[in-house]
Amino acid sequence: MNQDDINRREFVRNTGLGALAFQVAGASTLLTPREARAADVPLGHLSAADADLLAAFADHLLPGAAAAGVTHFVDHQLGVSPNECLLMCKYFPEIKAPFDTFYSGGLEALRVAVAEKFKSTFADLAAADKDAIVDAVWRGEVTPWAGPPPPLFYMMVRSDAVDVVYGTKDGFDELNIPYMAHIMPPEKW
Amino acid sequence: MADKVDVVIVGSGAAGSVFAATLAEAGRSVLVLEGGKSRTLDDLYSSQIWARRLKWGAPTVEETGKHPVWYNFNAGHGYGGAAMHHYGVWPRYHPEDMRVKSLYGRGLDWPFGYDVLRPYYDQVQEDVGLSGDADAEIWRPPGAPYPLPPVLVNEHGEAFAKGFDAMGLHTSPIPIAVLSRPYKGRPACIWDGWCDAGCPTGALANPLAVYLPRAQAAGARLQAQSHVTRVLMNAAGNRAIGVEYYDADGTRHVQEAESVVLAAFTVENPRILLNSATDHAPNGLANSSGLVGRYLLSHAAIMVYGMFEQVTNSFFGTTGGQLFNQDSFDKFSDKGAFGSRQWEVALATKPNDLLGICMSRPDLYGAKLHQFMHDAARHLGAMVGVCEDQPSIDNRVELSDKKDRYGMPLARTVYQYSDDALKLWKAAGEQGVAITKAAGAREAWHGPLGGQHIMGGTIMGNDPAGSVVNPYSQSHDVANLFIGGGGVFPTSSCVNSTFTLHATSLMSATWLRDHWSGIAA
Repeated sequence: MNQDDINRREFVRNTGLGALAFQVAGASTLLTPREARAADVPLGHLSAADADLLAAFADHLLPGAAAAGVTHFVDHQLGVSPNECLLMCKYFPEIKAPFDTFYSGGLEALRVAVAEKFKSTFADLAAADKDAIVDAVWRGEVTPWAGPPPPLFYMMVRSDAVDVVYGTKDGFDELNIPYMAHIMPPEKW
Repeated sequence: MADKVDVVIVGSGAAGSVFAATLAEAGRSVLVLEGGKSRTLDDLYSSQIWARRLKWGAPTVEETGKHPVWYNFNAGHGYGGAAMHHYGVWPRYHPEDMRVKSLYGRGLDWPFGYDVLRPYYDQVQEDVGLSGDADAEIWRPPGAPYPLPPVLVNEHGEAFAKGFDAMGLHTSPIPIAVLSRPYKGRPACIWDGWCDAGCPTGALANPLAVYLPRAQAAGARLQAQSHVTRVLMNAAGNRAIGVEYYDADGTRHVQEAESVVLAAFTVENPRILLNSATDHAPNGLANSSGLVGRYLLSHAAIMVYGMFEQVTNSFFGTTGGQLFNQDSFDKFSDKGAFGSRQWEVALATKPNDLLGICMSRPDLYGAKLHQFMHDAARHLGAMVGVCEDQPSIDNRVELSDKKDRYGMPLARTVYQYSDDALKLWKAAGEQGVAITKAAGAREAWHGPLGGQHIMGGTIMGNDPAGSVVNPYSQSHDVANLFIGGGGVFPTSSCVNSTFTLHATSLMSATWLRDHWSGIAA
């Protein structure tokens, strides 16, 4: 291998976040999280209620995350072994594998906290009220909260949102910076 | 049972790969057992999302005590281990780092001085091709000049350099195991900034690029998904006869060997030793000192950020940085705190992940986060301060009551930074923000306390009562058992550990090679 071989060498298999194998009509199909969401691919780990809340919460943390398929990204990765998992939560010593309980616990705690304070769901809150609850979660001041440490939950969902929005070639394009891959990750997961 | 080999090496990372190459090239039959999956350079996707496959995920390491050591982020899994995602910042220990107790009455001493390790540093840097400027690196201990010129310095490094200059501080090119020119058949870096995702070109000296190919060319075999649980001993309890491991299907195997090298990273090595207790060694193998797992060490790290008016293009370069500063290396540089610290300056920064743009301001969300991401993509600057911690017998690895799928107890870490390390960290934060402001950044801030590098737990020494292994990383208790990696370090210095663990591993492997007749049965 020499320098000429690698100048802007891209083993382009596709472009983007990477292909995930989703089950569609009984067959394994490679889709991006955005495509999986658009196709309404059934979720394997998150309940419908948790998926809706995760989408609403993530989309408030980073608008566009829901459309980019954050729920399908997280749901898919909850079915992957911890060593192969692509969620940032695997780094954090407070979060133990399997990671399902971290997400379900955080989402349930958020659901209860919103209901107690606003007698509503997160998705139905006014923007200012969403800000209020997000600020309380980030600061660890939300009550009641019977889940993982609230700032940690905030940071992990926020990271998932950033992953699907800005962690891809499309995201780099949006930021107007070059992706410069040696090896592009497969587009469809 | 598989055929007996001369050497079985547990772990295919930085240390294991050096042992494998050195011993296989000497004609020894070598088998490397790796707990994770096999991997080639073509598996290394340029993505901060996919990079997470290189990090540890399971079995769980329980982190307790006041401060985590961030095991999963620091450790690796699969061929190449943690060194597949290391950034290649390779400064040397200073002579005083290895005589801390003798010189200052603090901490511990190494069983040899810098001069003993120096030729191994020189040999490793020749093997891998370090880039740097030995003359400009005014703090550097004696050693051969770098074989390659420095890495790129772009707008990002230049911006920070102004701040250091304004504060009367010196910067040099960073000493880094990234090729600035083609070297020994490997290509030069093209500064794409994907080091953390694993470098598939081989420009960064990861094990798949340097020592593992050498080992395999000499006949060493690598075997993935082989989870070692115990070192097996003879009936007399004075000699290792091999290891027990489980494959991906959960089937138990025994691999016999003339000698055993544990190179499974700092936490896994004590875990295996403690799980290898016998009637002759009821408190764990190689543990007559009672120190297996003790003196765990880490570095207190601090990220410092600046938002600059000018374009920095910080997505470019190398993750490990462009410039370097050790002006605070003197153990008494910071009033009221004992120990060294250093700066790695102008880190290549991608949008996402733990060290990415987004996590530099975790408080931002919504439209403000979008705005910040767009601003920072071209104008952010980042550098990291690394601070020494002092060895404490209370910082340790021990076995948990919980077990993994093979019935092996999980590892538990207990860690708390010393007051000195926390004072150094605080001083670094204040200095870093001041440097960044002096550089002209319109905003400057620092991140929270982080843990970087993990060392100790199987420390070396001359006294069998005060250490686990001797100067050659050979167990005091079991003559044909060796430990590879940063676990043998009695002190942490403030420098990144990978260069030094290559050097100690090469020293140990060379000794084993040259004294083989006295080791083999």
